[in-house]
Amino acid sequence: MKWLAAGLLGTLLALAGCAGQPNLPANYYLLRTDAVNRPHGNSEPALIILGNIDMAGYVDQPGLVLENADGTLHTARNHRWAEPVRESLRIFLANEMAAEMNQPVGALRHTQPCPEAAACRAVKVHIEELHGTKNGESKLLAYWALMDLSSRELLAEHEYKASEPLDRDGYDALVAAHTRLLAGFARDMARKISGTINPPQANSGLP
Amino acid sequence: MTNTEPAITTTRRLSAIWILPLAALVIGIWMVVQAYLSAGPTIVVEFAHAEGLEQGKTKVKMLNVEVGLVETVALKKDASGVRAHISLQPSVAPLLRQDTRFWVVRARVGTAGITGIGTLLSGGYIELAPGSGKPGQRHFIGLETPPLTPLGAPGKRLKLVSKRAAISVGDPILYKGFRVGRVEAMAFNTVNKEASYDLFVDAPYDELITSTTRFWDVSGISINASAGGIQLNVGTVETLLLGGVSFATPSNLPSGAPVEDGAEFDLYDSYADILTNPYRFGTHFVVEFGQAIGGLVPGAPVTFRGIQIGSVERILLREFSADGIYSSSAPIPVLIYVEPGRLEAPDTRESVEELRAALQESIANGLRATLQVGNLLTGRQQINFDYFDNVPDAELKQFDQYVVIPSVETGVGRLEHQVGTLLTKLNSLELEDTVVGANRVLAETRNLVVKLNNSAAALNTLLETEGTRRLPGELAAALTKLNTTLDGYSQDGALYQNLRASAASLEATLSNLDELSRQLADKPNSLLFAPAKLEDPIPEAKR
Repeated sequence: MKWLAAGLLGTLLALAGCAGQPNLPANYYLLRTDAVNRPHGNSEPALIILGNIDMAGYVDQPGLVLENADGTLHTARNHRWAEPVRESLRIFLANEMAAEMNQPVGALRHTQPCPEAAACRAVKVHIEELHGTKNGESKLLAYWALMDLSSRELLAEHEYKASEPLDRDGYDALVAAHTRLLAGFARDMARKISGTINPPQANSGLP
Repeated sequence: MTNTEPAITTTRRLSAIWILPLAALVIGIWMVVQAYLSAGPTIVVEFAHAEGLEQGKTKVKMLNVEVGLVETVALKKDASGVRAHISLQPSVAPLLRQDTRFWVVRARVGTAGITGIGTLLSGGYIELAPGSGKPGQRHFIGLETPPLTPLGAPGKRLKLVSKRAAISVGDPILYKGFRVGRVEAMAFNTVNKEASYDLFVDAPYDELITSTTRFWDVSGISINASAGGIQLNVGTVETLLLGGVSFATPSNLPSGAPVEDGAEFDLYDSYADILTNPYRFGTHFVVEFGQAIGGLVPGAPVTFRGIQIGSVERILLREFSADGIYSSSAPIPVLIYVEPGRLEAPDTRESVEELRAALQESIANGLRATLQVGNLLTGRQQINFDYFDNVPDAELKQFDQYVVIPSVETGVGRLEHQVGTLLTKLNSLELEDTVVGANRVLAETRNLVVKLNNSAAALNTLLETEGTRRLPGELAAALTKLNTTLDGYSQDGALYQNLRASAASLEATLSNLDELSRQLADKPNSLLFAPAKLEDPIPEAKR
């Protein structure tokens, strides 16, 4: 009888504990763009392939990251990416680059493989920093490289460092700032890749 | 009384009569002193003989002015000549010095012409040529022949060396036909068997003489026959009859440095001889050849990488055979003469020593002599020096007094030697055993081919069986099934989609587990007591 009474008491206490702390609702965010990788049903093979996105460990996780006032980082428990950020970031960058270059950019599963006879280039991206700062900005530090897919020759290597101010308070504003920042990064990559592959012709001096 | 006693005085007085003799004595002494003081010096001159000398008559002249007289002429005690005692005027005394010269002027007929004709009537006299040496000399050796050049005359005295007596004393020295000097004396050295001549070149022509000046004999007529015709060189009538020496600096030699008095030169036979051998200094070496040296004759060129540096003097056959080695395979020594001037080095003895040292040092660095064919038509050969790699070390040795330069075989000689060596090796090969072995290998190969044919026939039989023929069809069916199976794993296949969804779900679960593990680590009782749900800090925009 004593043992039964003790078990009931414990159960009641546990239920009371659970009932004492209300669950805060989690918020999920998508990284999306309006840019289209293959406008008007373009089916030509992609000659620019965006490979896996490599990123720092604190970025490659579901929670959004915010810099505290004391400089430490806080990973949000209630504000999360709705899908693995590595996957959504590759599609996001590929679409933005395709729109800027007006040609399809391969993102592995979503494009055809590179034709054997064509000169395909691969883009490798490493995200070193992506978080909100204590100054009310979204901060991005990334490195990327352009390689010849057949010869594995390194054609170009760049660093991209930028920040974007939040237009209002809140995590939705932080995600919006992240989106603008990443779109700018994708356009910068697209322009530099075009300059590398198709360098401007020198003036021959002929009329 | 009258004093008649004579007065006797004891005082004696000198009679006046003595005045005269005393005066005469004084005058005499004064005259003697005066005569001694006014008399000129008395000298002794020795001559080989007394031809033209008469005591009390033969005068001593200088520049045709009478300055003395031969007092006595007497034979020397050993009868090897005569000794003339000569009194000279006092004014001549300062001219009597160590190098003052005396000779008898008499009528002479020589290559320089006829001189002293005037003495045929007036008699001979002694000519005095003042010197410039130490004063006070009173004993002299008279010259037998008049000196050709006055003492102290401006110019240079040189020495010519020749292997033969080509010219004689008094012969002119010519420069482009002009007489600029003369041969003063000649002598023959019995040791080195060379004739040496003393030359005097008058100023200012002596400035034409430099270290590269060459002298040649212009006596007689020189005939040079060549493909261009016959060239006849004739000097002046004087040189044609009497001989002479000419000098010049050949155009292929540098201008040279000025020379001092007493400089020594070689006397060449002709100007063509100078052009052929313009260099004075050189040195001898011996080159030993182990191959046939037919076609190598004296005068053959010796070259260094094609540049002539000397010539072959002779083949040392006498010395070679004297060693008793002519019957063995010992190398044949060849004497060569190398001149450093041919390599644009200064034509001096120092250059010869430098060349000798350089060649000896170069032997250790691979310098070797080779015998080369100089003319394919005539077969004439020449010696060439060059550096060779991978040649055996050569020991520095001497043949007689000459340094030996080792040689290597090249060209046709070497080819001949190599062909001979090859034939020797071919003869020594055991070809018979080799052929027998090859035949055995061929027989075994034939057996192997027969076995291979049998194996191929068996394989054909196997391939023609029913089971073998069915094998490709079965393989094709198996591949079709494999493709069907793999299609299920393609990107568009359901299995692939399921696997991807499962992987995504597993990744999300692992992420949640990671979060759970961190939560349990922070608060182990969080499974029973729900942790406090802390609110996340809100990102704030810039104000």
